[in-house]
Amino acid sequence: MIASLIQQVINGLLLGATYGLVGAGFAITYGISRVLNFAHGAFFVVGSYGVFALFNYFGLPLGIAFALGSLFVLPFAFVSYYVVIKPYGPDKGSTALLGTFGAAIVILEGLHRVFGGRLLVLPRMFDSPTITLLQDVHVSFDQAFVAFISIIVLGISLASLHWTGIGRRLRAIVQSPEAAQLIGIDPEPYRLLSFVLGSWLAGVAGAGLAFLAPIGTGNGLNMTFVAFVIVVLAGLGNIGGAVIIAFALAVIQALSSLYVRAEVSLAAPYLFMVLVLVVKPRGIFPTRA
Amino acid sequence: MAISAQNSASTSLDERASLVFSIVVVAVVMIVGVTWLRDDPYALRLLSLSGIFAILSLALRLTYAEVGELNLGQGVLFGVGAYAVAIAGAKFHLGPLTGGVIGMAGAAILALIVSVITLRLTGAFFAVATLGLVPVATAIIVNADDVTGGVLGLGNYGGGVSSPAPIIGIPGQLAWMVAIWILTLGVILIDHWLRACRFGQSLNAIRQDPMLFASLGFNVTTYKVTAAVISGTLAGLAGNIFALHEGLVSASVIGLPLLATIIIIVVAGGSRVPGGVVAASIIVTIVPEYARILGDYRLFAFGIALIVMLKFSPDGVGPWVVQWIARVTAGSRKRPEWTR
Repeated sequence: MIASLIQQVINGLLLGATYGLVGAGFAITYGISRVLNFAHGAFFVVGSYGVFALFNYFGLPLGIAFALGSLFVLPFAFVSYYVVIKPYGPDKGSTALLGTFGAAIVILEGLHRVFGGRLLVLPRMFDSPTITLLQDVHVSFDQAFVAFISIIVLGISLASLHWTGIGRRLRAIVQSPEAAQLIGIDPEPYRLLSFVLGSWLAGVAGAGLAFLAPIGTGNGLNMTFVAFVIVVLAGLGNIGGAVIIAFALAVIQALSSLYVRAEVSLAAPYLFMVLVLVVKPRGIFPTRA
Repeated sequence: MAISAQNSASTSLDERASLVFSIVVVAVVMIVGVTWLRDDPYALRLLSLSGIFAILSLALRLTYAEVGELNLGQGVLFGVGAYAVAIAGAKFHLGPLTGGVIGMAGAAILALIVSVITLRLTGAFFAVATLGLVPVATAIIVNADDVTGGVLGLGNYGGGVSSPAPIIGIPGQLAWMVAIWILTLGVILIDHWLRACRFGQSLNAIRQDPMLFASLGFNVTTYKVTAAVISGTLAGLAGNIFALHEGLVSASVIGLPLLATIIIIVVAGGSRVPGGVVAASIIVTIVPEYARILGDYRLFAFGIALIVMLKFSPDGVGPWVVQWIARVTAGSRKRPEWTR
């Protein structure tokens, strides 16, 4: 029993790396453009299908497909930015929300038509047996590798947000767009950059999860919702908090599949969010804004 | 940042012309259905479905346009109504009326819970929380298969067009079409009345300036929650009728296609114009059925249409029609600006 508990906690932590990418990407996107991006989960799915297409149609090795698959997100993110994000400012809240909803439908339905409705499964990246951490506690090599790469990408992104000039200017715009403009930062290129970067992080997460779970367009809305929950709980626009919440959420989801029925784990993020919002209406790490 | 309604520019639409528009649309449907299409069950069925979509879209319109909050769980509230009728009939042998009341009450309570938790918060929490209802409800339907019939769905609760239609009590597709559009007319009139009465005026005031409204001593959240509950009840009603009309409910009714359909209906028809929403629900239901070229790309086309509409006509087509009606019937009376 204790072994399966530890197993689920580890599974959750490994999944947390994926959720961390999704959540941080969403927080970056939201923080700057102030638009809740419904297409975020669609970008995640684009990453997954990108890996599948590179492996299946172009015959690239799985490792290279993993590395390049997420790049498919970039054109989608560029086009989405110019079509549904840029024309609507934050003051046009529900119009922009609906615009990204339309973009999500177009992308997910397009993928559904191109790749067909059935779930796609990739072969394992590594043939080696699972790693045994403890007695009855196993981690597959793929799982560990995907989590490792995800954490590296996440770490580089967060570090560059903190320590590079571009990152500092991005964070300045998150804190106060007006003040940032006063000190001479033109927000426009940074909006585009943050949207593409945030979307790409979702694509990386999708490319990684393609090796661990079946690929299907159904993941799109689920991942959008997971991103929503993470960002709402962390406090809108709080990128570091989003990563912490992402890991917590993944562990809770993994544990709920152990103690309750496995399918209930789908509802776990929702119940978690409702509980937290009842107790702490402004999120766990409220921002001052 | 609150999701604020973006169409404050079109608030000065003529309410009387808008009501005329709604009634003309319903009258045209009734006349065409009863005379020209009376021997065409397929066309009548599409008209019936468009009536159900009209009710559901009007419910969505109420929260979207009058409160400025987007309810993405509208399909779930619809599903609560549908499953309540089906389960009450199949498992407890209750009549459609009892099941319908249970369904509407259930949808209203669900809307109450979600909106009480989320509407007192600022930001897009309402849209997020209602979106989250979709995977949760799907998980419940699929897993509680001894009650809901799981993925196969639930039938044999005495629904379908061969059962007597509500209100008029006669079986057959024509009777169902007439009954559904009588109910739709009722919902349209309720919608117009809600906009005109004191409650609707309060919502209007909240949308324009919530701070000012609160400073007058009113509780903004109470008004928003009330609107969400009314909207939920109407969505439950649409679900009731859908379940009785189809004779089979399954988890697919609450999914993304339904949500996308009613959103394009509300945006294209004009979220501030009930008649436009009703007309759009007819067009959106019927055109893809005959335009075979769309085929499987129906949802894809809806997405494109949504983006194009938001870009070029975010207030929808309805306001133009209302302005045209107002111009045609102008001069009969002049009302001061503030009553509109």
